[in-house]
Amino acid sequence: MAKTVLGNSIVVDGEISGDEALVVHGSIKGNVKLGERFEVEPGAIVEATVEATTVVVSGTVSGDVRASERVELRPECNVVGDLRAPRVLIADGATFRGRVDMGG
Amino acid sequence: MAQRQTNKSDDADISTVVSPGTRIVGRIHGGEDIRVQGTIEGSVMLSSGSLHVDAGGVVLADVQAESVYISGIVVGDLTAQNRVVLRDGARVVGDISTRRLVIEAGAAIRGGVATSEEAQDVAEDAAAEVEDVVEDKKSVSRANGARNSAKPAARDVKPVLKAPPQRKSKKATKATKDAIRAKSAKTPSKSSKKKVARPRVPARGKHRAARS
Amino acid sequence: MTVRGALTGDEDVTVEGRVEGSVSLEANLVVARGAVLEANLDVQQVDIHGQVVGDITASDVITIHPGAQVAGTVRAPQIVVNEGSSFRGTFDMDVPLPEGLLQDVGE
Repeated sequence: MAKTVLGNSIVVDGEISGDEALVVHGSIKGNVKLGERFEVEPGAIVEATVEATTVVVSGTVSGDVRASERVELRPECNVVGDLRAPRVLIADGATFRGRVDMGG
Repeated sequence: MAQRQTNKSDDADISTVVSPGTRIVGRIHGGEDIRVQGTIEGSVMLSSGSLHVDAGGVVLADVQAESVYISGIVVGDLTAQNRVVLRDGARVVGDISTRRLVIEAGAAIRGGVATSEEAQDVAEDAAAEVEDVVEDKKSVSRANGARNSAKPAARDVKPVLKAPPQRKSKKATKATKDAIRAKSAKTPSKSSKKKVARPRVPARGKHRAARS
Repeated sequence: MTVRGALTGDEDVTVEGRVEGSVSLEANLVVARGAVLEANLDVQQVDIHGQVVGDITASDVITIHPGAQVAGTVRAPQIVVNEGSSFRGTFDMDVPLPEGLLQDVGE
């Protein structure tokens, strides 16, 4: 399946939606709403409300993150916001401030 | 256009693609190529790099880039420092301002177009080459056309070439919509040739109103 | 050769000189390199290598070749523009867009 990639010079100010995976190396400000996987690569900056199936963060996210399957905060990531997902994985070395809601 | 901008990519293998199932609404800035197979609505400004709108891609936005290559749909004004290429299947409604323009067979466009490239040089170089050929062809025009051949005709006419009124629209979506309205509301000009049946763009304005 | 006035006919024409006025042909027109037309053109097909200032309507194809200079409004089912030409004016072609495309634009 095709995926959308935003390179590291790319800055999006607005809303991104779709049913394909999104990999961001650059910056997003606004809203991300996907029926697929969302990956925030090292160096990427996302200031947005995020909704996706799986969210994998290696870069910086500021905003609430909601995943229908899983949120993964990788080492070196920096996340400020509330996480909501049935499974949450926070790696050693990740920086995170916010609440975690795993449903339950 | 001075925007927060991260450094240009060192990783050559990262290329920006907006794939078919993705839609971006808003402003996009950058300094690299973008390939659009999905939908972008708003504005696109690339300080360097080109915008490629593939077949199936839809860009409802004003665009600034080094170059723009279109096989899909663009509704909005295009400004490209280098070139704009409309390929077979391209559909463009909007104004184009660029240095070099290429429109291939099968592309359709409506809007004001201005190229800034001096065709002059190209013309004169080529004219020199063709001169001999033309000379050989019996040409009435040469015989009593001494006045014309004395000076490259190109020089004579240049002042007559006038730029069309350029519309500058900065607000992305709003301006684009207005532009569309303006264009579709435009009365079909006087040359209403019967052989050219020309339905207007099913866009805004009365056409749409009449339908609903 | 300079022609002032209306040039009409139903045979192919190549212009190498200067025309001021109008050209109306049920045939093909070639504007040769070096030719200068300050005229509105209404033809079946036109190949432009020289200069045209005026509105151009073709029932078939307009081709603007490298080195050509065109200023005016162009209308035809098919218009081809080659790199190295210069154009100032308006393209007035049918641009079929998918139904509903523009309705998506947020009101």
